[in-house]
Amino acid sequence: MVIEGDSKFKEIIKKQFICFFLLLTINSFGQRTIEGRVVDASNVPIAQANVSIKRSDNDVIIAFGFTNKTGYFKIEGNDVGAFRLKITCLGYDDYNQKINLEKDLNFGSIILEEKKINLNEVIIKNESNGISEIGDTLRYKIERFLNGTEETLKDVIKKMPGLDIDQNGKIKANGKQIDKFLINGEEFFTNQEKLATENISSNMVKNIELIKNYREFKNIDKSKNTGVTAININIKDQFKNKFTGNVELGVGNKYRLHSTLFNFGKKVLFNLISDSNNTGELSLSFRDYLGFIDKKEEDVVGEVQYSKPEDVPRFLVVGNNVKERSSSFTAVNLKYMPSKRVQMNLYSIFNDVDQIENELSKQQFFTGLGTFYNNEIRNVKETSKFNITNIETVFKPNQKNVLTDVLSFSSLRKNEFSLINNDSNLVTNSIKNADFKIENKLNYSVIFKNQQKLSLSLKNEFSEFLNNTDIFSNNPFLDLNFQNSNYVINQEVRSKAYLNSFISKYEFKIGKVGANLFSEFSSKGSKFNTIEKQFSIFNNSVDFVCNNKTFGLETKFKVFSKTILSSSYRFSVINFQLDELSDDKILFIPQFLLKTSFSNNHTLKFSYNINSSYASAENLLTGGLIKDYRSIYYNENIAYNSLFPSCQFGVAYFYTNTAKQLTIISNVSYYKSKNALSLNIISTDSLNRIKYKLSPFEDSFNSFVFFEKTFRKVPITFKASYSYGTNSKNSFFDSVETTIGSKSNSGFISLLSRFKKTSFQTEVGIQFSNDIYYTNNLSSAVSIVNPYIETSFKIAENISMTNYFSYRKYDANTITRNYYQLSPKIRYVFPKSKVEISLIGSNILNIDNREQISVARHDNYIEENISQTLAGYFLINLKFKL
Amino acid sequence: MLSFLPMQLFSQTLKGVVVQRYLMFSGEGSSLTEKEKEPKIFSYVYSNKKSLQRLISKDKSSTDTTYIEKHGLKLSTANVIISESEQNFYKDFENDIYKLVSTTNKVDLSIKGKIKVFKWSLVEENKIINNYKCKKATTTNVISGMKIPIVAWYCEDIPINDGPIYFNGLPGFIMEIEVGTFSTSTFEKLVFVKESIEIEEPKNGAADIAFD
Repeated sequence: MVIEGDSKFKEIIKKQFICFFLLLTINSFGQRTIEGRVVDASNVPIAQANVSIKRSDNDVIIAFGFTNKTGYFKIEGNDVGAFRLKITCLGYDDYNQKINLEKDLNFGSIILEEKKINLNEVIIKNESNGISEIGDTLRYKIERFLNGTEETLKDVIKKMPGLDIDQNGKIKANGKQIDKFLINGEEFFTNQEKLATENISSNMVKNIELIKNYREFKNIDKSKNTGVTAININIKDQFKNKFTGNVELGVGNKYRLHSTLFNFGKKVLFNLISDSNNTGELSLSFRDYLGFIDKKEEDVVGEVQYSKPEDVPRFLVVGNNVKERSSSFTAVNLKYMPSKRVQMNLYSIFNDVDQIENELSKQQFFTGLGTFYNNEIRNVKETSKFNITNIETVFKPNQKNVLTDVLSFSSLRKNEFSLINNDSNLVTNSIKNADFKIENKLNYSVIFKNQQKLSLSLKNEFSEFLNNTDIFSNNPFLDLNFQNSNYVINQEVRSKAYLNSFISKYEFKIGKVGANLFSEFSSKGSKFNTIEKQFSIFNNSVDFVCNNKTFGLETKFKVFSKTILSSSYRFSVINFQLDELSDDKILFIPQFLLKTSFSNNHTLKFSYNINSSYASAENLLTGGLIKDYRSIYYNENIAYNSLFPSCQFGVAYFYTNTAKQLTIISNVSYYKSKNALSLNIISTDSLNRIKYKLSPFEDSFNSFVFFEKTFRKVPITFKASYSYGTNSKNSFFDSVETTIGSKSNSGFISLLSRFKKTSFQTEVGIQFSNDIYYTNNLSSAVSIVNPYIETSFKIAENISMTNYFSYRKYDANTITRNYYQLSPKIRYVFPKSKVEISLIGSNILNIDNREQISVARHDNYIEENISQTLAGYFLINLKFKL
Repeated sequence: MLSFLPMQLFSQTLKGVVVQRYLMFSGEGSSLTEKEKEPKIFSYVYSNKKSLQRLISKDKSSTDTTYIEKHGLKLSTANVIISESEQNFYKDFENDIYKLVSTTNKVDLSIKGKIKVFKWSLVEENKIINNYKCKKATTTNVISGMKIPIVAWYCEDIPINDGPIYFNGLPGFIMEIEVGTFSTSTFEKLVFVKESIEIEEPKNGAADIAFD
């Protein structure tokens, strides 16, 4: 090389030296040295591995270094106490070890395991598919998947690959229901995802994140795997720290008034939603309602939950099979975070629904001798008022202590008036219900050294239930001897129940085995009284108390590196008291769960558990209990100390590969009960006597498979699911043991477009179901085939159009119906204004009421119903944004 | 069903694109010309404890007008922009070699030395860079007698001790470097590749100038 002496060259040299470097190194002198040697499985030194010392309670690095050619490292640390040594290197699994920095440490040789998975699966940076994965968080760049026709968060979520919203408004991620719903990282809209997704406008959403292993504020556990899946909606900055929302008014052959108000602040999250309509649309779904009433009790041991479908308001279960429906709804959500230590979350919901049902029902009854038919024409009018208010307060003074209190109040008032015309009677049946429930749950958890945790909770619950059933008829009924031809029944049911429980849990570790010792003391009592004005045979008085003492042990350990076995063994002594009687039962309940993840993407779970439930006061009738004009309940042989043991076996398999955008979920479960609560039914033309009776057998089998794949080369997402279930149970007709059962197949196949160059998007699919009910040699079936097409398209800058069309074919034993549904919607957004106008058509091919058929199986009869369904409507809807 | 078998693969190589943007020159009161504002684009590859950052935007040297504002006066001067047509930053961590190989105005240059050791201070501050969660670290570099504050943003999730230009030595991959108020170098794209790649030491016509 020729070195020229000119100035230009000197300048180049100078500049390139700047690009090089000029700096002296300064070494720090720490007090303690941590040294060791990092090697791979075959003892070959690993150079350039990253060695850091982190604080054990957070992620802060206090010292770090690298291994040299021989794999040797030496780090100096100034701090004293508990820390974590973390070693990372490309191509190897992370190494973590707890250390105590009190003296110099020499680790000798540390072996790093070769990574069995592609790093792409942990950290994915794939601009082209619009999804990025950072650790446990999957972030959707939502604009990649939208076409501008979306109005609400629901429309947005449905277009994200891997995310979906089911018919109950629940959000599903890769086929599984999500656990928590977050706004800007804070839990909000508890149990109200449907409300949130239908009311947050699409333009407020910045991005969506799916978080695996989400850590709740009240969670003080150290473990990284919380098992909680959360969806986080990040709101755009311009919608934060101020009131936003909108008011909508729709007028047509029906009306709709809807308003929302939000304030997403740093310390306060607030939301008010109110809706009033006569279109039949509901703001509350059956699942929402159950979520509010039967809250999942993670900590309660041995709790037996009974849900009585007849107590649930009809509007939640009959779907669209109503002639008319109007509802008004108000929900308030408030989250207040005054400091980093305290969080308060309040929600209150008021829901009023009035509805009218018209139904023609053909009932086929089974008796020991054969079958007979009963035909009914039913007109049911129901008015219901439901309220729930829930306040959760969490106080976390530090990372080691947390105090939680949940106070909840709910009430339901409903009046149901039915006019029933059957072959022999004209009956009016009036049921008035008034229930309320108040409960409080207080929990305190503390973490000690070595991951020991103590958790204490106290739960108190009180509920009251009132039911008045008044029946009038033009002819005698229930085979009763009415006096003076006054065919009237006035029955009053009054039930009070309480539950007090104290649960303590102590978690600790022995070596690598996680263990949890727990105990529960609970007392549950209920008083069930009924009175009928004329007939004393319908008087009942049951005073039933269960005192439960439970001790148990749960263990969790790694059988192999990626296989975890959890098991729990529970000993309970249950003391049953009925009036003057008393008896003790001892129960042993083991449960096992084996979970293996044979790579980051594949998870396989086996579970086996044994459980036992017992009777409730309503089963221990001393007299008769009238349900309707032709049904009376009795107790045949259910004792106050009867136990109903059952066992369940399940296998589940999950596969999710974000890079390939492929998800597969499948599960199989089998349930068997030896001593089940069943019925002995004695039916005649005019009366069903339904007696609670122990049955020797009940079992059910369920299987499910779900598949979703987004293709790279074709702009399409393919989704399909199929489920098959059978259920069989021994029941008694006229005291003769009979097997009744059902088989059901259902599923869907759908294709979603992901076109990039046009705003036109479509979903085409077909849903199908086939249910067969059988008893001895008789069977009844209904099948539904429902192809549908949903399209959305932006016609011009400010005009968008969505359309839904479906064809539904119902096939039952004797009836067939075809049903077409068309719901178009055109939306125009006025430029540079806060006003939108929409033309909404819903089910416009059926503006007159149409009929829908359904088949329902009850224990002693099968019913084919022809119901009037909600009429279609059209509205001109104006939306003003605040 | 074959695709469900766990893959016995692991990443060996990281490829990326580094974008270097100039904010201002070190000269007092000088502003950048349009030409100089254009970012420089580098390709980057890391494999088997070696890395190479190579210039891929080929700007020729040119004459341009720049303005110097001094004591309220705006002076226009004709300035010659010296742009490198080749520039390679090479690090071999195993053998502790750092090498800069460049060609400017057909003049080759090759400087070889040891890998720079920095004394970093870790700062508890986070920033998301191209979807990676990064933490902040700072140090001071002395260039031509000037103490220049350096801010690095490193990603702990990528366990590679390397970064743009000659920077390294943090407990995670350095995604972005801010050199005082002069320039920033940022990784705009990163791709993990399963196969390992042999990175050759860059060479040009010039003999190595030793620098320690």
